[in-house]
Amino acid sequence: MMGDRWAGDGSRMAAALIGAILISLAAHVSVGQQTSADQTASPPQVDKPTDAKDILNLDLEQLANTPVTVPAGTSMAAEVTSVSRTAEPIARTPAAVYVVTNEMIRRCGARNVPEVLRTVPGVDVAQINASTWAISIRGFNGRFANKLLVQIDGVAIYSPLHSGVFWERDPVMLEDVERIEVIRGPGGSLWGNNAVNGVINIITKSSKDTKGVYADVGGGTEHRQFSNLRVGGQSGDVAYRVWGSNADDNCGYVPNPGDRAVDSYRYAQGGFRADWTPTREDTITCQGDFVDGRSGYQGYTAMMEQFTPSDFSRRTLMSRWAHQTDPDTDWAVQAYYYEPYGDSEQVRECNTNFDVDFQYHAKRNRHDIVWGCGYRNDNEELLFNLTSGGWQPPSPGITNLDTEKIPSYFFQDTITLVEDRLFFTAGSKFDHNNITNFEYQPSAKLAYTPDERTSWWGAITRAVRTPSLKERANTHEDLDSETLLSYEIGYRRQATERCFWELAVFYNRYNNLIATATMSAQGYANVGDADTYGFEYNTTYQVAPGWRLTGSYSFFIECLTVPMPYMYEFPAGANPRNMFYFQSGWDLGHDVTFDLMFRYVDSLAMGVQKYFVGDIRVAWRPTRRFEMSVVGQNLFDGRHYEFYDALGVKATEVKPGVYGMVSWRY
Amino acid sequence: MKRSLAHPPMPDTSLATSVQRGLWLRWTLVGLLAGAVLLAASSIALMAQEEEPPPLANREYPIKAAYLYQFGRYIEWPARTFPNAKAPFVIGVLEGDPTLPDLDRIAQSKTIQNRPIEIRRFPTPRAMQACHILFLPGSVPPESQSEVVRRLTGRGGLLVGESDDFLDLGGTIRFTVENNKVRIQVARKAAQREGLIISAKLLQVAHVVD
Repeated sequence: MMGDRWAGDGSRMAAALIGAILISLAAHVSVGQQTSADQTASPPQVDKPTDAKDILNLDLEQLANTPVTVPAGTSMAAEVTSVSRTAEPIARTPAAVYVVTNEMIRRCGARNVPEVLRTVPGVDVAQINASTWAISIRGFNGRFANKLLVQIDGVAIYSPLHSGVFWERDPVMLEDVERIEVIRGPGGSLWGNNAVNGVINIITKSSKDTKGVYADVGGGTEHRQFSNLRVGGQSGDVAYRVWGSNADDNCGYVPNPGDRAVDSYRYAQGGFRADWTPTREDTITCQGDFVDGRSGYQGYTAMMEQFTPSDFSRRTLMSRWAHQTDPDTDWAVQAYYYEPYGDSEQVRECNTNFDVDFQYHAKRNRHDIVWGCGYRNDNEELLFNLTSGGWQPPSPGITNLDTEKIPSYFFQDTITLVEDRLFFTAGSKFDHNNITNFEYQPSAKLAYTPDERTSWWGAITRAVRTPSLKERANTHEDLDSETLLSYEIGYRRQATERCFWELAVFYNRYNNLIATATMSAQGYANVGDADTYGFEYNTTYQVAPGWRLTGSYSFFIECLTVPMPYMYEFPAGANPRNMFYFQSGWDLGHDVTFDLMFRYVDSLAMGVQKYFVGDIRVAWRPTRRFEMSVVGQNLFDGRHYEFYDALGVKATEVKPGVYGMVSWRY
Repeated sequence: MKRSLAHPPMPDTSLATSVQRGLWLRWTLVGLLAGAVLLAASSIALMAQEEEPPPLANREYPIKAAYLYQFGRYIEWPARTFPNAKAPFVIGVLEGDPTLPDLDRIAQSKTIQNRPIEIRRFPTPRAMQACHILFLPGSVPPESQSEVVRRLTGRGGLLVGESDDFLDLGGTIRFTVENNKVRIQVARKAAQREGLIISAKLLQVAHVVD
């Protein structure tokens, strides 16, 4: 019974917390005597040396770019590339950015990108069912949250039909991810349309860093089975890797008798990457992958209903040439081809995207300038099997459904107003698309670093979301883009050598939001407005060399207005007001690491209850080559819904699960 | 193509009486409070212990030592500076110079142009003699600097310094710190005068002054 369940779970939860506190005190005593082995959880770092011995091995260009003073062992010096498209230290970044490193991914026990994103402050991750997710930042969550730009190595994974991300079509082999950079807030100025509320950049390792063999295999109750294999090597100037991956996830839970859960998810994936450095200044990268899978995104079928799963596949090929002319000048050109395909009983969708992008970066005197241009061509082919007439294209009279052609250009200058202290950034992206014609997305930002331990930043940005193909096909008027004017301010502080914290506050004003009048034949129109505001706080505290605490809290309020009879497809109340995350990671003796994570997500006004769950990971790594781990996910709160039925996808309950995994490295 | 919005599944709320909800809420708050208190308490306690600001890692000396080593790799010295094939490559610094520990590390593990590296220490600027690379830190007074430069010009050695007028005095390479990074200025004429051939790679990274 529900009542018993809550009482029982409540006391179990309290016991878990008390247990965690006791364990942590015990570990603190024992850990104090351990010397840090290579298991020590280190603060997020990109491959810049902080060790004096590493500096002696640098070459000339690296020496010219190595900062002289940095706060010892911290996150402020870590570099991010997503905010200005070039590497800059977090301390000077005028944006709310969070970096998840490869080590952090390993320690949290995630098996896919959405599970990793659960640990990022301000990212609302709701698992609709075993194969579909609703992920967004700062509101507007839904099956196809359309205000988030997600890229894997520069390839935007995105369906122009829905303006959203099919997370299940783009799995990533997590072992070879170097880092995931998450920007909360509009990144439109540099990355283009639809980066309205945030940008998620998944960056995989260069082939130079993945030489040798990596293999893992595992399985459990929810992640029923998975395996990964990668072989990497080097031949002359070319480093390369070839890899394959598969996973099979169990269905969620449906409470009603007679309903049958059908939302299982499985895929097989393979890919390659090659990095060629013909000269010291040039790096040419070529990578590609394909995935083939089946998802029962329907969720469940009621008694007497038939269900057929949906197949999906995707091919990607990307190539990039980066040239470093001198320590102050570099440019890069990239082209990619991205082709997802989905096949269900009623809809067949084939999408081919081609994109070319060029950027040029130069530092001259007090100016740090990046500019670039690009062209994207999205082609969409849809077939429906709704009537008895077999597979048909969409009805005639729907204009512009087929192809989007979008040339774009951007420019940004960061001006050092006061050396090492005050930086002003201004820039904009412009594009001409054949839907809304001309779009501009300017931004003005200020970063103030009074000393190496503190930074303030503020930003005012305009961003747009162009209407999706589905919206354009169902409207009786020309649709405009949705617009956002965002005001943000943030503060970062390396309070002591071990404690880092940051706060980001925002106020967003949206206009021309697209809503639909399903009751009448009017379709979509730009009739909505919204105000949202809130803040995100996160902190990292290295209590002892082998004990690290991480915590975050985010608060969000939304006021959406839309005139009758219209309503939003992502109703108000799809976003939690409060989210809280806490992780404690210990490096115990005998090569064992132990991570305990708690997540709290507030209720959704649409009828989804709040939940408070925990994840646990225990890993044993007796040699550099071999690791065993056991991970429990979604524990302590029983089964729970995280989202509701949306757009034909029926929600099932997320169940607590356990899996074990073994991995080898050579 | 419209998809109808299905209404959300109604979670089974009939049994969630206010009593059970209160219990759940209470435990949630206890849990959150305990976590917050633990975090706050330990951070306050440990912050109280560490009154000093966090140590700033200053990597100026290893960076300069690494540069001196790189100069050895990207410059050619006149043949007369090496008496024989086994003669070491000599880097000269003042005794007590903070770059010495890093220079010693480099000398132990690396070679320049297949020659072993010898780090020679001089007690005073006056005692300095010709070396393949001679480093004069900014702390040396200007008269001593110009004395050394005048005395050792023409011996085929690379004179590296830091003071503002080092290149005007006749030195070849000067370290500067810009934007928290160590950069170098190169006087090509001085290099030519010494018979040193600087590779394009090094010139690319440097700010060439003449």
